[in-house]
Amino acid sequence: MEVDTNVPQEVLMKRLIIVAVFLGIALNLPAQDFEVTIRRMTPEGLSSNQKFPLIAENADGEKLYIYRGSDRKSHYYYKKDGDWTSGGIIPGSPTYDDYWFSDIVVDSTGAFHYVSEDADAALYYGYFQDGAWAAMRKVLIRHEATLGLAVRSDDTIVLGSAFKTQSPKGVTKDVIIGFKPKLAATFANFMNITRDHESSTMVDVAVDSKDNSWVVYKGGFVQGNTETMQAVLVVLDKANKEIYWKNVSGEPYPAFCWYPTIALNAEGQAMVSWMMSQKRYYFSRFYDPATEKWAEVTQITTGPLRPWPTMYNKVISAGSDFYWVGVDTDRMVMLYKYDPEDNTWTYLAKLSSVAANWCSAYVNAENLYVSWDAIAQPTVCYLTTVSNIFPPPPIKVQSVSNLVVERKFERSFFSGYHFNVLTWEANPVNTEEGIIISAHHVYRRERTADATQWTQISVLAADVYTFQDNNVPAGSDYVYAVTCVDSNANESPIEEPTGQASKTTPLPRPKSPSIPSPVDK
Amino acid sequence: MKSTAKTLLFVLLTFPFFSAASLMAGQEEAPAPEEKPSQTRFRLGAYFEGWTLNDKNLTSFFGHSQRNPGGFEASVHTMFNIDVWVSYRKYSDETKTPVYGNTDKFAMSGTSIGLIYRPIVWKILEPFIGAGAEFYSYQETIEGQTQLRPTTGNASGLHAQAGVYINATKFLSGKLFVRLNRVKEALEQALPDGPSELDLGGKEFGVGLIFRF
Repeated sequence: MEVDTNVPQEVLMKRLIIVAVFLGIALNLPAQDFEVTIRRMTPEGLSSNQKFPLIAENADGEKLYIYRGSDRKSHYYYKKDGDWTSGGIIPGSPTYDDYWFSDIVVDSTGAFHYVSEDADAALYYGYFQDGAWAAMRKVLIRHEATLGLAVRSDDTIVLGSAFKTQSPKGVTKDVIIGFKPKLAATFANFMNITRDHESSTMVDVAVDSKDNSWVVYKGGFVQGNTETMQAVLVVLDKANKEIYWKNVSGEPYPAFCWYPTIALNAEGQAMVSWMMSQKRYYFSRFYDPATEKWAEVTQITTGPLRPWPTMYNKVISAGSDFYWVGVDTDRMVMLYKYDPEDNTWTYLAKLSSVAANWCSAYVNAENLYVSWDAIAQPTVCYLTTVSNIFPPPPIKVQSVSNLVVERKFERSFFSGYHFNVLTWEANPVNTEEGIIISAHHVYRRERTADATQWTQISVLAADVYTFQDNNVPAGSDYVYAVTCVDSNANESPIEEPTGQASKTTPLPRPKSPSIPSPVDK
Repeated sequence: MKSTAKTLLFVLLTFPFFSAASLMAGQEEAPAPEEKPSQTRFRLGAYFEGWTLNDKNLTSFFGHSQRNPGGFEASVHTMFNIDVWVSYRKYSDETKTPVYGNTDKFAMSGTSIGLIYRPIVWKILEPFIGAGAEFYSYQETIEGQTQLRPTTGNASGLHAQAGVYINATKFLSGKLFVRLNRVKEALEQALPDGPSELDLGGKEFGVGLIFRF
């Protein structure tokens, strides 16, 4: 083969790129499967600092970004359609003496609930919906340190906070939980959940599918003249009765656990993270309520020393997965993902472009949002969006559609027998998603039996859409479910029957046959 | 078979022998008078009737409240205008099973035996009343492939009847009759409709043609 040595260098480079791309595709080289974009949210050039930003997004795609402005008031940006617009100062915002921590949640109506602290003084609550604020109001005086919000299924907002009291013995800090029912204007019914009554503070809250409140806080334990600070978990049921207590950090990490946070994943499993301030280690511990087993404490990464807010970190969940954001030793915001197989964390990405002071995170169905501020003063607030980070949920095979159960009674004059005829249709979701069905599984149970007591009574080919259950004793009352099994042997979940009528009471009399005789089949 | 029916059957079967022996003894003492039509010894006949059964479940299942079978009968005169009378007929009906439509056939053979008393014997008309036993044998069969099994059974009971012979010629008579039957059968397995008793009694009414000699 003759080599053309006169090919211009630009053309040669293009050819090399084409070859490289081709090789990359051919070799299936891994590609970054998510995209990180960083946006500066607050103006530069101000004389003082803009700090501690938060972000949240509701199901309609409305985003709310809140930060402490250089005037020491709560400011916000709002995005519904198009670009971000500055809303200015949140109505009713106080002028904070010292503002560090806040939290924001979204309820089922898409309303945003925001609570901020004026450190060592008060909490303030604001409510934002349809582009408008309800003026912020004072909630509780003498709050201290981190706080957490979570939403119950009835849109009750659960607030985890710390309450500082001055007594002749000195300052006492207790963790309290307050509640704001859906239509209430503010929080009430506060309750002290701490046992040690010594310097308990730094709270985070999550709510599980049963509306149990999972509260983690920095618990102060005093033994003699020594005080250690542990990550403590308290679980309250829906009636706010304590049903679980655990010193999560425990031995052999006895001292100075700071900023514990908690997240619950789709399986109801819990992840607690915190920083051990003396060593600057971020730790986590995984808990599976199904097995009631805690994994070993595992280190996520190493963080910076003071200032304190830098040690703030946040564990979050998306689907079954846990993610963590925090500021590392280089003061960059880092993203890690938890690997449950070996109880380790995997570095995913750097989320800040400059050294950061504080960060927080919010998850929606598709994106991870991380709000953070730069440490260089005067500080500026940023928003990092991590797109396509969450793998699309695997398309799961669905059970059949339109399952109809006809309860029949074939009889002569002197005798007879009951049988049930099931008919169904292919689930259009399976069809649309191109899921190949390999079999149908037929289940039944007594109507009054426990919903878990299904018995498989037949396995049918994928192209069979009817089944006759002849083993139906007189007086029995069965309900049925038909699942689909895909080509990978994944079976759709058994769906509770909703429209299957109860047993037929009137006895049939001879009439024109409604279904073909077995002879005719 | 019920004890009442057995006793009645014994009486009916033995009655002709005693009565015949009595007549033969009388013939030795005096010559026989001129025979009247009423003293005809034997009657053989066929009839056509309407037959209804009491069992509402059965009649509604098969869809007919009345069937119209033919039957045969025979009688022999004994004494005092009393005849021993037997009859045979067959009730049948059919339908389709409710789901698969298999043909479901029900058939019941009815055998009757009893006494008939003709209190008034005119030349043309001979009204009668009678009573006796009923012996039924029934079966239900389902044709074609089916999980339903055939059923057979027997039942017995009593009957009472009344009617009139209409003598047309020396050897030929017509007959009108009505008969009430009481036949119940306890079933080992309850019917799908619920009852565990079969009421095969009912009413029969018909017209017949009798050859007498």
